[in-house]
Amino acid sequence: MAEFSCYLAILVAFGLILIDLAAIPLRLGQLDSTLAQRVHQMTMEDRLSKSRKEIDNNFQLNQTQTSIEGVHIEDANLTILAISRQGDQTISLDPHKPIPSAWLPDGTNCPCTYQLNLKVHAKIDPLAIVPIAGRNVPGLSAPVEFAVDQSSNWENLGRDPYTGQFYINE
Amino acid sequence: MRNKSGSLLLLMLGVLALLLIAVSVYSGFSSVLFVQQKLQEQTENMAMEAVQNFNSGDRGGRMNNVVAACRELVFNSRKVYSIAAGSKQYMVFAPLAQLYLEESRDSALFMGKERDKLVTLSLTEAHKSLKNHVNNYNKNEMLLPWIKVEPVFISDLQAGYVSGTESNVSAPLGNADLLEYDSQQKYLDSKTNLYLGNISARLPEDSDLTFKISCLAPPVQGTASPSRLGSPQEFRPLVTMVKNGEPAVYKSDYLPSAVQVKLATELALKGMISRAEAPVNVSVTGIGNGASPIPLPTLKAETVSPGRR
Repeated sequence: MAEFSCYLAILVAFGLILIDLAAIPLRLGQLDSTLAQRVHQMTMEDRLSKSRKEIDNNFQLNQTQTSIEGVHIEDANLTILAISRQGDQTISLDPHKPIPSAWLPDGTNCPCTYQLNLKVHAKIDPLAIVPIAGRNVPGLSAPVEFAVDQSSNWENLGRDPYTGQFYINE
Repeated sequence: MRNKSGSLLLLMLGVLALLLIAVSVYSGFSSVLFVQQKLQEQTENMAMEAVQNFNSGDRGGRMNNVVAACRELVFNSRKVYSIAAGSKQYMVFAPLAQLYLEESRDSALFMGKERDKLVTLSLTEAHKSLKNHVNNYNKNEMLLPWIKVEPVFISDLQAGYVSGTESNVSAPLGNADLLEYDSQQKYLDSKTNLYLGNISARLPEDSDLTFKISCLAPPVQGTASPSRLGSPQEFRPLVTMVKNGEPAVYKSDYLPSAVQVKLATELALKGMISRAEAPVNVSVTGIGNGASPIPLPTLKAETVSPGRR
């Protein structure tokens, strides 16, 4: 019986560690799909400033804790990737600055597609953090750091009749 | 003394059973996500294709412009008739002016009927396009482990417009009287000099005629607004075509420019005695292309050969 209890203890401990670690890929998957959905929703806004505000307000306010349990967002960075239709030219643009005229939908480098790219650095906790003699072991006694990247094509390529500006530049 | 009843075997079987349950649960979640993603993609494609029918070949934009042109014609004919009938000097032209007025009114009535036909045609085509897509999609059964995907159906379908969008019809800047009247009636947006969308712009002495101008994104500086996916917050419904899976009798006064589609399906566990079902719904808003710029008439210069008089 003593021999058997030893095996049982090892098995239970191993199982617990596996369950603890299994939470990380599940949470990562959840974060990945949530971000994909958020970016896709942002690209469907009528103007870029709305998407930008969502990132500036929402992500900065909730930098330490997202709605997903055990996921801490450290940093969120939104960029616009303009790709010329032939695919020979690409530029990464800051959404807080106006788009250069050559890269606007009627610019010299266009027609092009615009991708909204959201890059997030996040720390993901295991199911339970187990202290190991004061040492930080990622996945057991400390969260694991990940960089998650999601992008989706910008939808509204029209112009605002009030300002004459392209919605992607507003 | 060893216990020979085989407890370790039972333990291993228990662990194996737990592992199988864990894999099944994970597989179930993955399948739901996969179906949701696939349905989202399909619904987006379907919505985009359906919404093309509203302003295919700029027919909606041109119809708006023709309705506005008919309206201006009626307004001008009425004005000429009033001048002719009200003054002795031009009384002789009154019958001719009346004829023109009647003709312009007839053309306005005719255009109104054609406009209604176009609205019905656009809605029917959009609905038909969606139904065909759904039928084609259901032809290919999705095979997933332990899960049966029930046929997809249109749960809700609404046609409407985008909030804050005006019409593509420009203000009659060359017609001071009509411009003044329309400004007083608040048919116009003074900032953009465009007629507002989804209005019935009646005329004072011909109020029996309805000139319905639909909402449609105008071309701005020569750029037509391309069709796109939109957020549900900017969608405003005009007509419900399907509600809770049941087709509705639909009629719209205005030509829609956007569509909101909700597709639904159910996931059921295969081989279960009691049916465990999970509904999956996806809602998408598609916004049609805006009006094209009006092509200016090109006048060909008469070519005169040097030897010809």
